[in-house]
Amino acid sequence: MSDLRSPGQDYFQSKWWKRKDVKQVVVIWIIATALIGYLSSKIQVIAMGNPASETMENVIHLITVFTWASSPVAGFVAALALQALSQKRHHGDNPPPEADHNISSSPRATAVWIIISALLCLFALVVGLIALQKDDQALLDRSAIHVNVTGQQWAWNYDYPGSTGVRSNVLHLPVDQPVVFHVTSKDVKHSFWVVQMGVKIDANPGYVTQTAVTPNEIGTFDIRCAELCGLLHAYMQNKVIVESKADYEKWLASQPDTGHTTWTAEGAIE
Amino acid sequence: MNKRLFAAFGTVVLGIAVIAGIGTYVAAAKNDPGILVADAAGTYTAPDGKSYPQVKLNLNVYPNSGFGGHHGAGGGAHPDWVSYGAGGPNGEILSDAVNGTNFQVPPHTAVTITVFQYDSGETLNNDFFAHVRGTVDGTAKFVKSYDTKAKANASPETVITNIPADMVGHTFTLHGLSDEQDQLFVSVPLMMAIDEEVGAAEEGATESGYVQHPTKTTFTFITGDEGEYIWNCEFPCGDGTIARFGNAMSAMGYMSGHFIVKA
Amino acid sequence: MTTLLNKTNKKALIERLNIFTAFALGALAAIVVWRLSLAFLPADSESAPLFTREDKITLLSMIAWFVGFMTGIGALIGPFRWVQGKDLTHEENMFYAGKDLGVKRYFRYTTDHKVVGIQYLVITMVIFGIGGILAMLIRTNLGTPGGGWIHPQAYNSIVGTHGIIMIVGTIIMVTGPFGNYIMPIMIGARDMAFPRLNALSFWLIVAAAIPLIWAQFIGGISTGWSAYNPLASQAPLGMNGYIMFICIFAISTMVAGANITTTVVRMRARGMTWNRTPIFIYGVVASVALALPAFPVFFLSQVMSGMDRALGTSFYNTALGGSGWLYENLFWIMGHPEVYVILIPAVAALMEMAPVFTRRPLFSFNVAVMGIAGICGLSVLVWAHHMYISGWAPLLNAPFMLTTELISVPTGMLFLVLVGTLWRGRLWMTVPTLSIFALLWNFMIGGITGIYLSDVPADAFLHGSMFVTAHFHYTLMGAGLTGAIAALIYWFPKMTGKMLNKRLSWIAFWLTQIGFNVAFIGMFFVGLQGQPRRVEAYADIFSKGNLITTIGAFTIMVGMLILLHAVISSWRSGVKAPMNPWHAKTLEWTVANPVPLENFEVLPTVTSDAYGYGRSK
Repeated sequence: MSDLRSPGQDYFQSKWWKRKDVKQVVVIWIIATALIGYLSSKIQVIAMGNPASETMENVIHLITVFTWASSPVAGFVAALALQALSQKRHHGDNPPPEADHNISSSPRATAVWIIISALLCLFALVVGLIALQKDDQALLDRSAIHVNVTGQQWAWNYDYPGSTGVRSNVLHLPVDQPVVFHVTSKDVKHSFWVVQMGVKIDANPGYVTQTAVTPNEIGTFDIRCAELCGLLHAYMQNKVIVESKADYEKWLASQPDTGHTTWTAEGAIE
Repeated sequence: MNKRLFAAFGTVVLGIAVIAGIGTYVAAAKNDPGILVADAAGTYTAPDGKSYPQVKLNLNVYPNSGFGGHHGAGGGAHPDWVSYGAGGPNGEILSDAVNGTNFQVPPHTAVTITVFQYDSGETLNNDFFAHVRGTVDGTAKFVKSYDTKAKANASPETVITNIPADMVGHTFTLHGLSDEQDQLFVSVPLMMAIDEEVGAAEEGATESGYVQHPTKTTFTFITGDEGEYIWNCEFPCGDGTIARFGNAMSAMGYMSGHFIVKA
Repeated sequence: MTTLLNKTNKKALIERLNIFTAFALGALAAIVVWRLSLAFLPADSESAPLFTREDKITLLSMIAWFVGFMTGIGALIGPFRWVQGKDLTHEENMFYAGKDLGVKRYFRYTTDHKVVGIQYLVITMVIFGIGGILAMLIRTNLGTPGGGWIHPQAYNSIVGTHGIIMIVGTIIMVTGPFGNYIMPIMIGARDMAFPRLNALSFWLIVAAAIPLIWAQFIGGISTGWSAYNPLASQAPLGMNGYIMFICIFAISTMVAGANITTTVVRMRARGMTWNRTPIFIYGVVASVALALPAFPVFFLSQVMSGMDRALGTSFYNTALGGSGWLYENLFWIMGHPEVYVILIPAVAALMEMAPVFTRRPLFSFNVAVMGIAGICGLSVLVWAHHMYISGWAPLLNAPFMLTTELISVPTGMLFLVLVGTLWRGRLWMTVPTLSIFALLWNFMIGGITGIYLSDVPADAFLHGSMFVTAHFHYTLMGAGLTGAIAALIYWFPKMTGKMLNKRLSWIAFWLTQIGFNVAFIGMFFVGLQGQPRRVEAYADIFSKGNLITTIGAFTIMVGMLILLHAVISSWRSGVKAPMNPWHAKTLEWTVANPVPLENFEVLPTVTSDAYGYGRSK
C-alpha cells in the first residue's frame, strides 16, 4: 500500500500487469463479481417464486443470465471505485497536491472497453431474440385451446370458445395444454398479467391482442391488471386455477350455458 | 456547530409536521361514509342442507344522490350523481343515513342483500354481468315491480339466473385482491325500474320524487374467512365520459365501496 | 428609479409589472372568462358523445389565466414595442437586466441569466418539495397492504402529480439553475443569446404551475403521469390542468432549448474550440437539443387530448375511429428522449467535477463527447420499448430491442470516463466526490435493470410492475438527482457567494443515499414478486417489501430536509466563499463574487482545455 501513496519513479516504467494497484483491482474485481452475481441472482430467484409455465422458467433463466453477464461489469466498476477510495484521501478546505500524472486518454483501454461492452450488448440481444422467437412460436401452436379475455373497469372475465357458452370470472385452465389468450377491453386500457406464468399483454378497447402460454403446474395463481385503469385498478385481480385435463372438462361441463356464442372459429371475440 | 445541527433538526421536525398536516387533510378529504354493520337475522339453511347464521342488508339504488343519505343534506357535493344508499326493509328512503356503501359482515355467514332499484337502465357493455354469479345456487329472487306505498309486491316474485342485458339498471359486483384470503366473487344484475314515469307524471305520488315501483332483487351468498373486499357497479352509469365510467363511477361512496368480512 | 425610463415622475408601465400584477391579471382574466363562458357557452347536445361543456369552460379559463399572467409579468412589452417599430431603449434593457433593483429583480421579468438561474434554482427546490410531500403520502398509504388511507382516486391523482411534477423538476434541475447561471460564464459570455427568451422560459414554468395546482381541486389527475388515453378522456376536469400544464411547460422547454443551443454555438469565448469546451456544456446542450424534437410532440399529444375532451374529436377514441396507440406513440416519442434530457446534464456535471476533485485531467474527453452524442442519437429510436406488450406492433419488438440494448454502449462510455478519471487520482473527499461514487453505484443498478427491461420476454413479466418504478427511480433519482445535488454544492459558492455547510450536506448525503437504496431495493423485490405499479392496495405477500420501501422513503425525507436546511441557512449566514474555492480551471471561477452584471469586463480568451490538472510524469 505504501508505494501507492507515494508512487515510485518507476511506476510508469513497469509492465502494467505487474503494478500493485492493477493487482488489487483484479482481486477486488473477482470477489465483487462473484458476490454481485451470486447475491443478485439469488434474491431475484427467491422474489420471483415458483414458475407455473415454461415461459416463466425462461424469464427467470433470462434474468439470471443477464445478472451473471453484467456482474463482471458491475464488479469491475466497483473494483475501480473501491481501489480509488483505498488510495490516499484528502480532507480539508484546500485541494490536495496535484496527481502524479496527467494522463488524459488511453486508446488501448478505450478500445477494449468499447469492444467488450459491444460484445455484451450483442450477447444480450442474441439471448433475447432466441427467447422472443420461442414466445412468438407459441402463438401459432395448432394444438392450443383458445380463451377470450375481456377486461372492464375493474374486473376480468373469460369466455371458453368451443364450450357451451361457458363464461367465468376465475380463469380455469388444463395443465400442460397450450392456450392462446385473445385479450380485449370494454372501456380503457388494461393489462392482462398472469403473474406466475410470465405472460402479459395489454387489453385495448376495440382491438384484440394475443399472447400464449402452456401452464405446467397444477395450482392456483394470480392474475393482476398491470396498467392504471382508474378508481379500483388495485383490485382488478383474480385467480387462475390450473387443474388436470379431467378436472377441467368436468368443470366446463358443470357450467351453465349462457347462450353467449359470439366468438368465431379462430376464437377471437366478435 | 451543534447549534446548526439543532436548527437542522428543527427543520426536519417542521417538515414532518407539514407533511403530516397535508396528509391529514388529504385523508380527511376522502369523505368516506361510515361502515354499516349488517343486522343478524336468524339462521339460513342452504339448499344443500347446511345451515349458517344469517345477516341482512337493505340497499336502495337511486338515480341521483339528492336523497341525502350518507352524502349529507340535499345530496352533498354531487346531488346529480347516481348512488347506492342504505334503505329500509320496504325500500324506504333513509335520508338521514350516515353510511350506505361500506359494509361489514361476519365470516362463514349467509349474507342476504335486498336491493330496491329506483333508477332507469340501458344496455350493459358486457353481458357477462347480466348473469347472477357467486350467490347460493347462482340465483336471485326478483320482483319486477314493488309497490313502495302498499309495501307489497306488485308483481310475483320469481327466481332468476339472469336478466336481459338491455334492461340492466345497475349491478352489485363484489370482488377483492388476488390474495391468500377467500376469493369472494358475487355479481348480481339489478333490473331497471320499469315504471319510471310514475314519479314524474303523478307529482307527489312518492314523497321523494323517485318512482313508486322500483324493482326488488334479493340474493344470498356465503362468506368465507375474514378478508377485505370492494364492490362496485359494472353497469356504465357515470354519465358523460368515455365508456361512461367517470364521475359517480370513479368516486367511492356512490357506485362502489368497501366490503369487510370480520367477526 | 422613478425617472429612469421616460424622464418624467410617473412610473412607466414596464416598472410597474411584477409577479403580483401577473398573478392579479391572470386571476382576473381567468375569472372573467370563466363567468363569460359559463353564461354564453351553449349546452351540449344530447347526442354529444362526451360531456364537453365543463371541459371547454375549464380549458378556456386556464388559457385566460395563462395569457393574463404572461401579460401581467410583462412578457408582451418587448414584442409589442417591436411591432410598433420602436425597440427597447438601452435604459429599459438595463432595467430588464435587473440593474440596481436588488431583491426585487427576482420577482420581475428579469433577463439577466444569473437572476434566471437563481429563479430556476428556487422553483426546482419548490417542485422537489411538493413532489417529495406527495411521495411521502404515497409511501404512507402503501405502508400497510389494505391501503385506504387516502381515497383511491385521490391516490391515483397523487401518483400522477408526483410523477409529472418530479419529471418536470428533474428536467429543469440542472439545465435550469446551472445551465442558466453557470453556463454563460463558463463559456465566457456576458449573457444568453436571447435574454428575453430566457426570462420567458422561466415565467412560463410559473404560469404552468398554477393549472396543475388548480387541477388538484377539480378532480385531480387520476391517470398517472403518462395520462394514457382513453383513461384521460374519462378522467375528471382536473385532466385539463394537466393538459395546460404540459402545453405551457413544453413551450418553456422549447424556448429554453433554442436559447441555450444558440448561446453555446454562437457565444463561446475566443479560442474556446469544441475541443476546449467543458464537458458540462456538452451535457447541457445535448439535453436541451434533445428536448427540441421531443417536446413539440408532447405538446401536440396534449393538444389532441384536450380536443378529444373539449371539442369532441376522436384522435384517441377507438369507438369513433381513433386509437389509444396513437397517444402512446406520441407520448413515448417524447418520453424516452426525455429521460436522457434529465440524465445527461447531471452526469456531465459530475464529469465536470471529477477532474477538480481528483486533481488529474478528465479521462478521455473524446469518449465522453462520443458517449453523450451516441445516447442522444439512439434515444430518439427506442420509444416503442415502452410498448412491447401493448400489442401495437409485435413485429417491431425485435428492432426496438436492438436499439434499446445498443444504448448500453454509449452509456458504458460515460462509466469509462468517470472510473478512468478516478483511477490514480488524488481524491479530495467532498460531497461532490462522494456523489461520483454514489452515481456509479446507483446508475449501475439502474442501467443493468434497464437491460432486463429492454429484453422483450423479460419485459413481458416485468412491464407495469414495481420493478419498472424502482428502475427509473434508480436512473432519474439515484443518478440524476445525485448529480444535480453535487452540482448545487459545487456551484453554490459562485451562485450565492457562500459555502454550503459541509457537515450538514455530508449528513444529508448519507441519509438520502442509504434511504434511497433501502427504499428502491425493496421496490425491486416486490416488483419481481409481481406487484403492479400505481396500486393503492396490494396483496399480503408484498407487505414486507413495501414496508422496507416506506422506511427508506422516510429516511430520504429526513436527508432532503437537512439538505434544504443547509441550503437556506448557508445562503443566509454561511461562510463567505472565496472566488475559486475548488481551485478549478473553468472560466466561471475567474469572475468575482458576487458575479458582476455583465460577468466579464473584458471577454476572456481561451488557450487550452479546462482539465490541465496533474503533474506531467
